[in-house]
Amino acid sequence: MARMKFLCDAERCIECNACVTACKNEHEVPWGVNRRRVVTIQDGKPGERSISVACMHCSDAPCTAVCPVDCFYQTEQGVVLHSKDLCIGCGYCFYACPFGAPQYPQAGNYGSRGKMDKCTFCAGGPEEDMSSLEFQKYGRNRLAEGKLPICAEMCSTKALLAGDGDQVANIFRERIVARGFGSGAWGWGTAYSIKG
Amino acid sequence: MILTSGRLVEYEGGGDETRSNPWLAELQQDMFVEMNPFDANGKNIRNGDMVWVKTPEGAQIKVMAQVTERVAKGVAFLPFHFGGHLEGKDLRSKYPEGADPYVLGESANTAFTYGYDSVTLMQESKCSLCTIERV
Ligand code: SF4
Ligand code: SF4
Repeated sequence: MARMKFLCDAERCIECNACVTACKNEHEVPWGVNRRRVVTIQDGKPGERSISVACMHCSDAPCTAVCPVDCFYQTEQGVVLHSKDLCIGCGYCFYACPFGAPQYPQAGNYGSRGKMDKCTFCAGGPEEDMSSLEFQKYGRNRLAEGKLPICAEMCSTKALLAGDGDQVANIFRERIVARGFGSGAWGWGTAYSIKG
Repeated sequence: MILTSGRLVEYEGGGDETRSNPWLAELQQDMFVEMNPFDANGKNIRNGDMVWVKTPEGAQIKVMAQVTERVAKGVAFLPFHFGGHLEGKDLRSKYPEGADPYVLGESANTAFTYGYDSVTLMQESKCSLCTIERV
């Protein structure tokens, strides 16, 4: 079975935020909660690069290791999902996650955290596939519909790739070969005056 | 300073429709002016400060400073998709109920000049003058 992975190609991302907008629209994610965001480094300077970040669905996921109520599970395709019925909004996973993926809607007037929400790789949650309960809690289950994540589908430059990890790696490898350099060759721009 | 204007990827035209879309409005919540760190330092302006952009005809708009090397020294850039604030006043209460966009802000046109192209009657929106001061 395929192992699902994301890859964002910083040489291609143009910080258009289409991935962010598509995700919010697909899953009706409320204001203030961001399953995906675009981070820009060296903003406005030469060498500016943007990268689109969400939950990476890690192999040995730190969130899963720290969760005190064990609300996380990994699907056969490697997608890290969680149960909002079990989640107590403690915030441990946010501190554990290297990508800052977990998000918490405000639950009460004193800023208490609600149930954690994060990118599901468009694969819903523990409720019955494509049920209205699943949509309400976790958003659409595109994988169950036989589709890939909407963020990568929508990406205008195909900077963001999502799908079978082997295929994603093959596409990226072809690009690197065609370019002759790339993010694996950081510093070529400075050393050899090639835009990179 | 030279004042120019342009688009943001999130919004379209005057921006009323796109600022009424929560997914887009969340990504750009403040009308701003881009200015070079050299100019900002000279005026004691930090990134995120509120500033007055004042123009030769006496108009002034209150916007957030975005200090960035994206603009050259002596140049200020305004995005033109905002509306609903006029010279520092929030006019949200004047919108018909339920018709106000999520995000309001000063309109760049308030600050631009009377100049226009005599053939197309298009207003001058790329080249004007301004001074910028901290609020
Ligand atoms: S995979 Fe789906 S849920 Fe995750 S960031 Fe992309 S669109 Fe959002
Ligand atoms: S849609 Fe693609 S190019 Fe646009 S911000 Fe997202 S990853 Fe970058």
